[in-house]
Amino acid sequence: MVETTGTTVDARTRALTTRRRWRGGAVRHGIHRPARDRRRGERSLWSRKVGRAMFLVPALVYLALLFAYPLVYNILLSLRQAGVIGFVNDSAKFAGLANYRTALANPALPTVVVNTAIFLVASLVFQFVIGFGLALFFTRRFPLSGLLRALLLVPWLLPGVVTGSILRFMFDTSDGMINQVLKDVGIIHAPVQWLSDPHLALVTVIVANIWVGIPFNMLLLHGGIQEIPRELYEAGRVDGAGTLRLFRSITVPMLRPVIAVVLILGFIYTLKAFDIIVVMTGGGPINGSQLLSTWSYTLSFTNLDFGQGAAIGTIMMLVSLVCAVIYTRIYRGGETR
Amino acid sequence: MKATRRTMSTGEARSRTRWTKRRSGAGAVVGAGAALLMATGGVAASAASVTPHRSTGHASSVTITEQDYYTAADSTYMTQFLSGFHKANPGYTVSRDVVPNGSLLSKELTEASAGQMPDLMMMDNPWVPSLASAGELMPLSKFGFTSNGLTEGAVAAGTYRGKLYGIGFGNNTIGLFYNKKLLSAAHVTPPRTWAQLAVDAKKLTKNGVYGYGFAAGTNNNAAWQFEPYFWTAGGNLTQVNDAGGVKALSFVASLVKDGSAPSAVVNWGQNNVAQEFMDGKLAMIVMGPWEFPDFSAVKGLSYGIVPIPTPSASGHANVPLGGEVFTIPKTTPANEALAAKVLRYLISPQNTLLWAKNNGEVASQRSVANQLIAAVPLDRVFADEIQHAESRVGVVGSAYPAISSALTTAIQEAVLGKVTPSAALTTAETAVKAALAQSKSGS
Repeated sequence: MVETTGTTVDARTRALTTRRRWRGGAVRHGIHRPARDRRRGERSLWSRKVGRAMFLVPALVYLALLFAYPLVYNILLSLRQAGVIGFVNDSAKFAGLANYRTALANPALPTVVVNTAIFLVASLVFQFVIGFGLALFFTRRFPLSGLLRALLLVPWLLPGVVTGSILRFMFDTSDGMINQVLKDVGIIHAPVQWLSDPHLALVTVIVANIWVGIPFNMLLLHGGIQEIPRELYEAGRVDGAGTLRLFRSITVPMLRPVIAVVLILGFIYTLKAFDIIVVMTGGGPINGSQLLSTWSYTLSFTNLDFGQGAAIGTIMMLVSLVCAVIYTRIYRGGETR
Repeated sequence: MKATRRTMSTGEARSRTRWTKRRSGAGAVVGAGAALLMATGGVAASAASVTPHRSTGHASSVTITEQDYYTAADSTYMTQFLSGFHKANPGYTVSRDVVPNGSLLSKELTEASAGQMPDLMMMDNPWVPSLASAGELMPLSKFGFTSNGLTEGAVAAGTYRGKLYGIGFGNNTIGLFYNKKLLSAAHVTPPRTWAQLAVDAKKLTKNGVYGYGFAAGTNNNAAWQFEPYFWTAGGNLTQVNDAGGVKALSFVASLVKDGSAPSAVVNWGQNNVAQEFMDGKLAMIVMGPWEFPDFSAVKGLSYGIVPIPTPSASGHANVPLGGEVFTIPKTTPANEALAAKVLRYLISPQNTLLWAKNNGEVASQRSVANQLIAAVPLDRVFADEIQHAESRVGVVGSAYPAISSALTTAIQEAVLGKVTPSAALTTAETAVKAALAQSKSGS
């Protein structure tokens, strides 16, 4: 959606400048046009506008149906006292901001917000650093590098439920492969409660999410690095720059737009991470790995309080919206620079 | 409250094939009606006719939609019954929609809110008050069904405010399953009291085997498995932190604290507990009769069942009432009548017998139930227990889901020793109060 806005704005500006140029040209060259012609010209201009607008219709219909409707529905639901009955037969009373007040007063909220913040920051930092490292690594060509790079994409291609199930087995306290390996090499002596300890459970789902997110970071950054003209590096070397200097003064600045995109999309993907957590821990134990996304689902579909769930959903939406705005700004900034 | 497998694991697929093979043998034993079905339908035909109406249906065939979460061995019976209905009524076919247990309620609620419900809708019995109070279900008396001849449990499971909204094949509850080999190796007899359970579980914990296991993971299994202890100790769902509740939670938490049960229970649903038991890693577990088919299919697993232990030797456990019911959602008069026709066929005495016998449930119809209790010894435990079964929603109604969720958090906190059982339940009580207030206000 965000990208669409970016391109339409761009297209509109371009269209405007083109039109201005044409008019100016006509006046400068003093071309005289009969009134009838001009009228026809105006009419055709108007119909051309309609024609152009028609191209927007499919996108607008799509956005209204699949984007605006659920969002508006969610916001309206969050303003109503929607338990099962109210949700099912649409009789829920208007409750103003009561759902938001209740949600904010919920004793679980501080835990959930802190969990979500830790999850976001840790996931983003590690995904990005490891992804960047791998992207740089794969700029060198070596035997089987293509195959290796393809294999690294696997975590991203697997459905979240599959990943979650596999990792759940691997992190199992008594039979899990991870505890077994750690024990065999002598790092631990007693099994680690990866999923049963509320604090460790959060760490475990973060590790899982990082694993899933690395390929996305690697892929985009690798693509960005490929776009940087080789001559810049050659010039840098001629000027006597070392590898670190080349990285700091050429790679990073040239990648800035890509980095911004990666981080902001990563933020949004991480904020809505859901399936892996539900499969691995269900948000538990004791809300230990509960995030805003899983909590919203739990409130709606476990506690059957749809108004509360919707309120949390709307709050998440606002957070995403702020990010989307930042994203469009950076994206546009990157274009003009 | 059956813990149907959420996803079909390969193990389950395997066990189902085994089951299908065994079934042809079982068919000969049961009533003539069922035997006829087996003869005409046959295993292959009934398996192939999950959605018979599209390919083989008559041009004028009427399709009735049905939805359920039977995904284990019980799925085969459902398919068989529905194709039996089609054979008896060639003009009608039933299109079956199987949804995993974890997502059936949310799907049904979404369908109800969109006015797109199936003609016949299966649900776990605690969901009945929610959907009936929303006015989405038809009282079954409209179609001539009465509660005459049904067991008390069956009536409780399908009734909301004095009206019968659902009838199922049977009811179930939970008992204490034990691994006979492990118990005899440790010279332990199945426990009857809490004290014995604690001692036995401790004795049985060795060589990578835990003495006791139960479900305390983040889904509705945790409260259901806790309720026998909770209710028997005098706990009350409207005031969870009173003396009885604290006593029960202290006991359950002590089993984890002394190492007789793994702390991984906080990640386990019933399916995980059943799996650990089948792998021989748990000596005693809380489980229900729906696992009979899967447990029987495990080579070398010999198991017995006793009622859930009680605080003192005298007395009985107050167990939660389990079992699914079929309901008729409000659709059109014509479709509702058709759904009633299918329902009447589904719960015929011979279908009920076949179902209850193979899934270890106490049949809804009193006559069938009595017939089975005499024949199947393992069922005895559950049949006796069910005499004292309580409905989970009887007192708290539509507040149950939120209460169950608050109770789950309290169980996890106490089991992991994060706070005292009393403190955990006091926190839960705040949520319970809020849920009760909200359900009273009628939303």
